[in-house]
Amino acid sequence: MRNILLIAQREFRGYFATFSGYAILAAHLLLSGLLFNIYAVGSRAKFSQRVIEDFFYTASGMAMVTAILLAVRLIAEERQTQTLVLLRTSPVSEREIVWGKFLSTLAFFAITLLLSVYLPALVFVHGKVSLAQIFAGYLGLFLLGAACIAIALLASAWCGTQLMAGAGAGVMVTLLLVAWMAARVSEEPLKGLLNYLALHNQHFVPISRGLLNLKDVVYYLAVTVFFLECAVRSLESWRWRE
Amino acid sequence: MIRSDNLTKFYGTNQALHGLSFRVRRGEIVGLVGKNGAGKSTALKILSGQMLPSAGEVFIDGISVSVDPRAVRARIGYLPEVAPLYREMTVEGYLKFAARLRNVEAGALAAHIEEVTKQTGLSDVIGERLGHLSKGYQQRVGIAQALVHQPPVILLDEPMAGLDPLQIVQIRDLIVSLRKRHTVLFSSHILSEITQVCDRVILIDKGKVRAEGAEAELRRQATRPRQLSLLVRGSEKNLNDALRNVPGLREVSRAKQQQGQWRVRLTVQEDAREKLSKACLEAGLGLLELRGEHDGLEDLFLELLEADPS
Repeated sequence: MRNILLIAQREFRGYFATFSGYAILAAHLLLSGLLFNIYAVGSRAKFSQRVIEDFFYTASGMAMVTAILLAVRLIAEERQTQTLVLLRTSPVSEREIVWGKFLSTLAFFAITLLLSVYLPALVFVHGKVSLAQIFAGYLGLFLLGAACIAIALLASAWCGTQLMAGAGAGVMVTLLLVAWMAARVSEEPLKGLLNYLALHNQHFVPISRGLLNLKDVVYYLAVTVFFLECAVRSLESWRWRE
Repeated sequence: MIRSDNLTKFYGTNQALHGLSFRVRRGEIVGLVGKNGAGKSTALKILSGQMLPSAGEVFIDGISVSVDPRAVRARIGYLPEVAPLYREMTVEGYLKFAARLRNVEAGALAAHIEEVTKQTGLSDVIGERLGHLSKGYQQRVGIAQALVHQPPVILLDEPMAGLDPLQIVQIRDLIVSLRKRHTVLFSSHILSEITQVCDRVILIDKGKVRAEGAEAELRRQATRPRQLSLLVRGSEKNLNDALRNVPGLREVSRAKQQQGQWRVRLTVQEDAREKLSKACLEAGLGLLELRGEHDGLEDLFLELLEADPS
């Protein structure tokens, strides 16, 4: 655990020591604000609950993109700058490297989410909002982001460059997003499986409405751990492949 | 302290190491020499636990890299060809991070950092960002991260590559200062630098050890005659007498120069400079210059590499 925290701490500080961390944070907040005004609030009268639901819908898209952008650099950048060798020749396991990097990005991602809390809070000015819905929605965004960070981390371990890693993560996330479409033209039991695998439709939409089910939380945790362990295996295999 | 037994490594179908075997004793400084693609970096990557061999075994301080890589990595300090520096970090922050990764306790951190910065001459730039340092300082930081946890074994891959002559001297002196306290194995293309620093040299080619030993031992293994250049003042008769008195000499060329001086080029199997200078003085010649030509280490290594390994 000590090594995980040590690596996480260094990575987390790295976001604040470079331009890219601030740039992603600023872009996330700016676009979230614009989408909130254009799509969630809009020009027509809406119930507050619907405004919050629409906000989380757009915020989930932003969360996925931001999570990928934050995470693609984690291993690919170190490969490009040849700094990963410091970790790989230290008495640190691949699992500690992957989890340390994951936690740092998750912490930075959580900050970007927290900084956007003022958007749903604005609804309080003219309407009545369920705090439970906001809490559930943010928990959903956090879990969705964690899953996307894990997916991007695997892509970062697989690909030699950040650009390739970004494209790889984008493809994997998109495939998981559209799994529900494939489910519509499939037969059971594949239909049920594809529906369950769908990253957003089956699991996030209920959360954005304030319906927090344990099965959805378990789904996101399972996806996160699965992709992180794949990244661990990928890094371990480097010792043989290189 | 370092034992490589029959190390073999394949990159796909390309075999980089062909049964590489050697030993490095505790406290020794040993140089790994070879052409590009000889397998030096691959060998160092395996020794540092960064990659696993296809066959064979490596032991560091008696521990197998394959069996307990984590314990091995705790006992080594490794500088790769490109120093692994996080450019946004300060020298102090980076060394602290490297030390903590290698299990240095928080209480001992300050003492470790102070010692290694003194040792590597980094005290003046301790607060600087790594990205703002010169290549020479960055290389020193790279060496400092390898030393910061005071490991028994230091592995350095081309530590002098890309440095200017002054920086090479500084890094060379730094490596020499590690003698006795650490066992050092380093690779380099700069052969003259390697022999000035190392107790022994291991010459590898095509993934195998072709020769090893101290510089003098390697010279004894060489069979190619060396060339000597002689400049004397005196009569030709006295010159002939002097040359006749030294066995094994073969004259290549002779040229008369102004003021009764003679420039003679000779080949010889062994170093005959002492005998030749004595013979010249006994023959009444004025000895103006006597030096070996084309007997540099590069030639010696080329000869050893060209020799049939079987």
